[in-house]
This record gives sequence, structure tokens and C-alpha cells, in this order.
Amino acid sequence: MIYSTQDVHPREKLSYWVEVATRGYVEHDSRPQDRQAFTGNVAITSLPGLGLSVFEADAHQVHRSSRQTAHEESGDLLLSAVCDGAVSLFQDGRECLIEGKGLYLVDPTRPFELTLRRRSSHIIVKIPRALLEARIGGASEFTGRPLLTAGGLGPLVMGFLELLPAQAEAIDHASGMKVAEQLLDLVALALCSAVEKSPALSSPRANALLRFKATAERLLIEPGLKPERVAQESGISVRYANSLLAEEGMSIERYVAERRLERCRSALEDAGQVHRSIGEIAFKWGFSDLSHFGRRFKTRYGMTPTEYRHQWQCMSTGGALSPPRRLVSEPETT
Amino acid sequence: MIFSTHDVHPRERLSYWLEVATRGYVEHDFRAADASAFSGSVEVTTLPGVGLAKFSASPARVGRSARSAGRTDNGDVLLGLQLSGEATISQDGNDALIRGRGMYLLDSLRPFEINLHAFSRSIVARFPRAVLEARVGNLAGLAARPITTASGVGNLAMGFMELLPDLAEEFDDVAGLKVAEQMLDLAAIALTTERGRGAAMSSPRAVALMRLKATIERLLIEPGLKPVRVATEAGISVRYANDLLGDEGTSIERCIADRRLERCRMALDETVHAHRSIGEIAFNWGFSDLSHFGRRFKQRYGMTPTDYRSQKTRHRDDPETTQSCLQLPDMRARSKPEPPQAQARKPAGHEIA
Repeated sequence: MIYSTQDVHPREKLSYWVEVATRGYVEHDSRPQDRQAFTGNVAITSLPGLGLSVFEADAHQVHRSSRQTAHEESGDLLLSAVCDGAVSLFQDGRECLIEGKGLYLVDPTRPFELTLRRRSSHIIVKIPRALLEARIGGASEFTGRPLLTAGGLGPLVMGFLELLPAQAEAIDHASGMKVAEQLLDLVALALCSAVEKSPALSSPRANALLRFKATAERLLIEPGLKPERVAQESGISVRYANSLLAEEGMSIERYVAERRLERCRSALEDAGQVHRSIGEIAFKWGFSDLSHFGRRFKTRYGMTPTEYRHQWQCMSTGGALSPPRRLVSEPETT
Repeated sequence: MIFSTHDVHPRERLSYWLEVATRGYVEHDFRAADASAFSGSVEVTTLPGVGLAKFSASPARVGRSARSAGRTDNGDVLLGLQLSGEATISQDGNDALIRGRGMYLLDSLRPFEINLHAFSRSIVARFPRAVLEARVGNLAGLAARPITTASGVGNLAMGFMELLPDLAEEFDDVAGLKVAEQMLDLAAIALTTERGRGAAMSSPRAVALMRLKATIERLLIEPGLKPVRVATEAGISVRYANDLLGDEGTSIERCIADRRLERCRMALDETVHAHRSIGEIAFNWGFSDLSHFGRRFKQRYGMTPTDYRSQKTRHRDDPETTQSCLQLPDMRARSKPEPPQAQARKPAGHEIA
């Protein structure tokens, strides 16, 4: 959906803009630098669970007052990528200035002030608060800060975001869910590395835990994977790894089993993989005993893999738009 | 690490290239279309578990023979992303013509061929087959099936992969691990989405069909090749083989004939084969009767082999008409099911890939 001030009478351009910008964004006051010449356009699209808008507008100031935030129950956070422009953002007592490309996070439940110093283009991702906070902890540490740091992940997130608006419509729902999940993981990683902060743990431990988890993910497919091997590959001792995981009520073995189950479960949901037998999926994700897999699956998800797949297929062919699956699948500690 | 022929004396460029590009990669043969004008560069980076190489090279043929595939190392798979140029990617009897941007999968356990028709830039990721098999199941039938820019997820996967070579060095170890996983996940989504569009086939049938096609491809060169020999070599009965091929509207015999014609046509396209006589090419690809070959060729492509070759050569020599040359009847493109001219004459079920 594209909204543009182009065909709007000059006198009405501004009110039209405030109307559409509010729709793609949140309620705010808008003060253009040049009221007469102001132009802007917004294209709105989405991925499952995420809103995507591409804004292009002349210099103006956006102000969201405490009055406007007061009757705001929006659970969304706004991740903004400046593709090209000059922007300054003030929120939570911090100010960040962006010239050229940049990334910042806005929490619309608190007042903020955003100034576009010249014509700027933005990609804004509306993310349900719970989804992002599950990955990065409280959002208040990330607002009002420049989040695109030199090197690695920031540029990758920017690049990925720039690809999305053009493709979002062409992606089917099931793939879209996976892409949305990937985007969130990537964003979370980039945000944490930008402010050098990690979720609930202090830094060296958090870092070791992240490295451990990423390593485990890579090794899941090895049948007969031993805790020693995962620990060794991530450069820590089994004991230390278990103590890190204990804070999440986990152990190496439990964690590996949990991730394997999750991988199998998502394969069973995938229409592109219906031709694969359940046994093959389980073996490829490192299970070596099918009846053991079946038991653990049932304990974890309350039904057998066959039932799960069947139910999922009925649901997706029945046209249910949003299957009852959480976008974030946090391991439940049982 | 960057290797480029740029600063190498023209006479030595090709040998320099063979030295650097062949090393550290899956073993392959490399034949430049024009050895004296060859130029190329390769930039190698890695992510945990994934090797990335960014190539640019003049027209050439890259081939992995049955011998080197059989001797293989570790059974890595190659995920190629062509950024620009034009190439035909062949494996298991699939030929994918990719013009401009496109993505493809190749399995180093079986022979393959990459024909760069024009100066091309590409990124090739190499990783263990198990990581992809876990995500998409059996890789049978996925090799040399192009993912085009028509696919939304495909575009994302391609765009993501394109960003990686320049950033890979900057990732710390955790980020690198995550990014590698994400690249594989995205590629898997793109590959399965594409497959989902085709007929859903149960794994055992898909595997048998793939093995059958690879066997046909390997035996094409045997004159007087009989269906029973193909089936035996593929470890299935003639009846089952015909049943599998029947799903695609073809049969063992038709498939053999079509693949031979296609191979000859591709050879006629190539400057490296310009010195070979048409008869020699046809005999090499297993035809034993030249006039029979000529008839079938004409039936299939709407002109005689000689006309076909001279038309190609003329177009090649005249850069002005390069574009129209590309519009010639082209049966290679899986992504273009409606070839322009020979359409009316082509026998039903010609498309074997």
C-alpha cells in the first residue's frame, strides 16, 4: 500500500501526511520545516507479526507528547533504519544523531522527539514488544542510541532490512514467519553488540553463553553428540557450560535435546518438507533412536510427531491464517 | 584473501588462475574459452563451517568429472549465487541457464558442469551436505534447479548471501556462527519453496529418479546404449525407470535421445568446440547414425546442426546482435518453459531435466 502527498492539494498535504504517517507509525505531531513545499510518501507492507513501512519525507519534526503516549497501549517497538538522511532522535534522556545511514529504536509508549534535518528515507519495522524484549531484555537501554556500529552485524541488518520491503509481498505466509524470526534474531544480535549489553547476564558470562548456544546449533546434526564436544568447540569446560545453562534451568544435554526437538518440530510444520518421513527428519537432526525421539516429542509438545504434523497440515489447509504458534519459541523449562 | 589475474602478464594469466582457483576448492577441470584473453579474480573468506568464494571470470567451462567426484573428499555441497553474466549449470541431467542473477545448488559427489557463456561474477558457498540435508531432507532433485529473481524468498536469500563476503571478516565468532546458520536457513527456505511448487514427490522416488538421470548422463556417450543397461546401472528395473520418467512425460529412450541432442547443441554453441566437426560431436555423444542425428536435431530445434552452428557463430562475431543470439531456441532454461521458436516442432515431453 502506497500513500503519497504527490496528488494531494498543497493545502491538504500536511494533514494528509499526518494521517498516513500515523497509520504507518504512531500518533504524533508533525512540524515541517517548509509547510508549503512539504512532500512525503509511505509504503506499507508486512511480514507475519511485523509491520514494515518505508517512509520518505522532507525535513520535519516529529513530536510525541506525554499526552499522546498516555492513551497509548501499543505494545509495539519501532526499529528504524535510516537508509539515507540526517536524523536526530531524543528519547529517555539520550540523543542520537545520524548522518547518512543509521539504525535506532523508538519506544512509542514514552515521549520522543525526532528531527529530520533534510529529506530522509527510513524503513520502520513495527515489532511486538514481547518478541524483541524476549531477545534483548528491556528496550529502555536501546532507545535514543545509535545502533549501527561499524563492522559486522549492523551493516548486515541494514542490508537485510533494505531487501525486505520489495520482497515482503512475494513471500508466502509460512516462509514469511521464518524470515520474520530470522530478522528478529539478527536484529537482537546486532542491537546487543551495538550497546555491548547482553540480556539477563553480566557480560563475559553472557558472551560465553551466546557462543555456546551458537556452537551447539551448528553441532546439532551430529549423531551421538557429547556434552564434552560442544563445550570444547565453544572453548569452555563442561562444568562452566552447565553452570551457564543452569541459570536458564538447562544443562548441555537438555539444551541440545531441546534444540533438536525444536528443529524437528519446525520441519514438521513446513509444507515444503511434507515428503520427508518423520524418521528421516529426526535422524538428520541428530536423534539416533526413533522411539526415544517420539517419547521426548510427546512429553514436550503433548502429542506424537505424527499427530503434530497431521494437525498442522489440517490447520494450514483449512486456511487458518495465523496458526497457534508463537513466533518466539522459548524453551519451556520443565 | 584476493587472487586476481589483473597484475599478471596476459600470457601467464590462465596458468596463474588454474593454480589459485583450483586449489582449495573442489577438484575440477577448467577450460577457458579464450585462453589468451582470460581474466579472473577470486576472493576467499569463511564463516564458521562455510567457505565463501567471490569469483569473477571470463567465459570458461568448469567441469567436475565422474572420476574426481568419485574420489571425493567429503561430499560438500556448493551453493552458487550468480550476480551477473550468463551461465549454464548442469548436473543430474538438469541444465539451468541463468542470465543475470540466480542461485543454484551443486553436489560435489556427482559430476557437474558450469559453462560461463559471458564474463560472470558469482559467489559460491561451500558447506557440508549434512547441514543442508537436515534442513531440506534429501538433496535429490535440487541440484542445478535455478532459484530466480521471481522468488521472493529467493531474492532475500540471494541478497543476504551477497552481503556476506564483504562483511565476513568483521563478524566476531558468535556473530559468525549465527550468520552462517541464518544463511543456511534462508537458502533452505528458498530451495524448499521452489521445490514445493513442483510436483510433490516422495523421497524414495525422487532419489531413484535422480540416480537414474545421473546414470543416463554418465552413459550417454556409449553408442548403442540400451534402456536395460541404464536401468541395471541405476539399480532399478526398466519398468520402474520408465514409470519414474513417465511422470515427466518421457521414457528412458526418449530421455537418452533428448539429452544427447541437448549435449550436442551445447557443444555447437561453444567456441572451444569450434574446431570439431559436427559428425565428431554427434558420435562423441553416442549417436551412431549421422543422418538420423541431423533429422532429430532439426525436428527438435527447427534447423539443421550446420545452420545452428553458423547462426551462433555469426551472432557471436557480431557484437551488435548478441542480444538476438540469446533469443535463439533455447531448451536449457528450466526457468523459461516456453522456448520461442522450436516450440511447435518439439516432441511432446521433451523437457527432461
